[in-house]
Amino acid sequence: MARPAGDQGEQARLLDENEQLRASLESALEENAGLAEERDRLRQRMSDLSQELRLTQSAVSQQAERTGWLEPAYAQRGQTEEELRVAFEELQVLTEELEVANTDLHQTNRELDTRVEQRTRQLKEINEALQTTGASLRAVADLVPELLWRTDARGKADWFNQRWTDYTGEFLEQSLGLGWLEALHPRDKDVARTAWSIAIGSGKPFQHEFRIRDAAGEYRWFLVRAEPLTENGRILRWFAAGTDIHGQRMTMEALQRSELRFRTLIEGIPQLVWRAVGGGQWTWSSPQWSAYTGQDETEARGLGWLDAFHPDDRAAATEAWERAQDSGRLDIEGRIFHAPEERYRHFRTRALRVRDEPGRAMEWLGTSTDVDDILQLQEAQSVLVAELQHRTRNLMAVVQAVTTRTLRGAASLEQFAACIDDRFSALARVQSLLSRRETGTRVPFDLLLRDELSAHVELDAAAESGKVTLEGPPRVPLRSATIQTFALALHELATNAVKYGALASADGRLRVRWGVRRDEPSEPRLWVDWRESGVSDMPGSDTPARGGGYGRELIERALPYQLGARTSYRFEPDGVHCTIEMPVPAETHVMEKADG
Amino acid sequence: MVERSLEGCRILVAEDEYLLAEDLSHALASAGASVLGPVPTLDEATALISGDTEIDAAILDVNLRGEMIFPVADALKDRGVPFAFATGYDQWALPERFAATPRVEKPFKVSKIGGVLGLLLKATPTG
Repeated sequence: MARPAGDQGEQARLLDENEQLRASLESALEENAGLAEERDRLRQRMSDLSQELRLTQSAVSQQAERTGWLEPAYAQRGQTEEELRVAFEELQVLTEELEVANTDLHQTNRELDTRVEQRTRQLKEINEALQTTGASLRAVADLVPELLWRTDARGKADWFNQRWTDYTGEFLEQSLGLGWLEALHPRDKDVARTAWSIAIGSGKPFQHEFRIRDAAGEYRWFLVRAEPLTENGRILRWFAAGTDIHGQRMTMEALQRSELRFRTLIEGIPQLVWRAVGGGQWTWSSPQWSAYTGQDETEARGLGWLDAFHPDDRAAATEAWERAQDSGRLDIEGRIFHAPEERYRHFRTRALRVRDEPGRAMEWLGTSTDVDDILQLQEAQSVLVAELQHRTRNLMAVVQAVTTRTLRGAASLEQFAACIDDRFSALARVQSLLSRRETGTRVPFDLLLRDELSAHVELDAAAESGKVTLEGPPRVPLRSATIQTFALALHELATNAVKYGALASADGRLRVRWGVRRDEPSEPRLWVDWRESGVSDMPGSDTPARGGGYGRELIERALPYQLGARTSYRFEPDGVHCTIEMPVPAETHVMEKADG
Repeated sequence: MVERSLEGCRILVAEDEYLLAEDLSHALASAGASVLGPVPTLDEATALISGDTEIDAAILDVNLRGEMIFPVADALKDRGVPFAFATGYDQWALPERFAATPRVEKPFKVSKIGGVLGLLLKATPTG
């Protein structure tokens, strides 16, 4: 924009000079006319004087002839002649001056003519040149990809390049004045209007990014710059240019969104994320690292992160970094300090080398994952597996022992088969009961009792008819380790009652009562009173036990040995009376239902 | 265990499962051993070995009513009493210091226990 401004300035200057020349020419002509007038006046006066002289001479000669008195006439004549002579001299001086002036005037006139002619020619050339320049400028203005427009000093547009009308699809008239602001995105319009008026007011260059509507009604981002054209500190007009930055802007926004997504992801995941350059020099760590370790981001930089590692694991971490230089992979198992808990937790720290397009190593991206819970779970799992093995093998050993005893007490293979089947079923029931219960809960005694009795009688019907009476508090918890043997003992009591006792005869009655005794200072004790009645053919006390005495052995010896129980087993005249008293856990968290 | 290979030997039995303890004790007695115990708890086992009772060897169940037998095993080691584990646990589930301790897996044959005990007693110079 400097060029045309200069040309215009030059043109204005030339016009100005021309005008001055014209003015000086006019004043010279005026002066010339003045001199000519003066000359004419002097001529007139000379002619007047000459006539006066002639008249005087004639009068003198006539009077002298008439009177002969010449003296005063001669005196008067001499005076007039003197005046005439002065006037003549004056005339001569004037004539000379006039001639000089005339000569000067002619010369000036010629010079002026030459210079006016010269100026006119120059002006014509400049005009022609300016016209060419103006055309070129317009061509250039229409050629550039920018939208260009010009406003007056008050910011009202008076010219747009072709690109503007092509791009916006608007008629020039629509854009003139402040109409061009209407092509901006509704959200940008107010900001633009305000910014523009501030720029106009301050005269400072304007630069903003706006969306401008194209002919199809789509908006694209433009960088709009405007600068004032000033002369002697006065703003003449503004020139504005809009550059399409839509692509860059979109890329930038996409990049920002991508960056935001990345950051959200990084800060959302439970892993501690970090970046490093060769040798484990950290350059950045995610906020989680700081929250976890209590190190702020600057502390973790460089090798600062090593301080958060357990002192015993630092050497291994350093070595892992050395190895990683060759392999491109980092893998460290080390404990990291967890500030909120004030303890170290096990971490798996991994990193991969990031390469740029030409394949140069740029940096390392790493994560540290808390595996403390997993390790603990793995340990817990190992314990559980070991426990399962232990129990299974123990159960097999018990099965083995039960089989041996059953075999010892069986009179025939048929009896053995029936008996072993019963006992294995009892074992299976208690296993099922144990496996159904939720972790941390205990099997309550009433559940175990009902479960066992139900295997032998219709418990509800038996309770209804009064054949079986169960009296005792619910939810008395049993120690898990005791349940299997206890269940086997209850099974023997029940199976004997069904085979030979209260449940074998119509008149027989079974009454089981139980409760918890807390009078001893140590643990609470469960007491159970199993009493059969209405049994007619009771054996004598010295009679060998029916069924090989296995049930009795369980009650009298196994329960005391294994459960720390105190037991009694007696044949009363009308039925068996068995008492069992054993320690039970103090807590009362028991499983709720038998069938779950 | 027909022959009385363990004649006169004092064998400690720690086993919380009555039936197993009973069968094992019976078998050892048949082989001529005198059984110390059987004991079903860690406390009883500890009481038994902390006295002056002479012990030639021990068969230890690893888990007694939920308590690990290891303190007793350590004490026996200190006393120079050979012992074997009779257990359902695999070797890996036991502490490393017992890696060399003979282990009889449940369910075990009584004859196997006899054999292991025989080896233990032979390896230890009896006073």
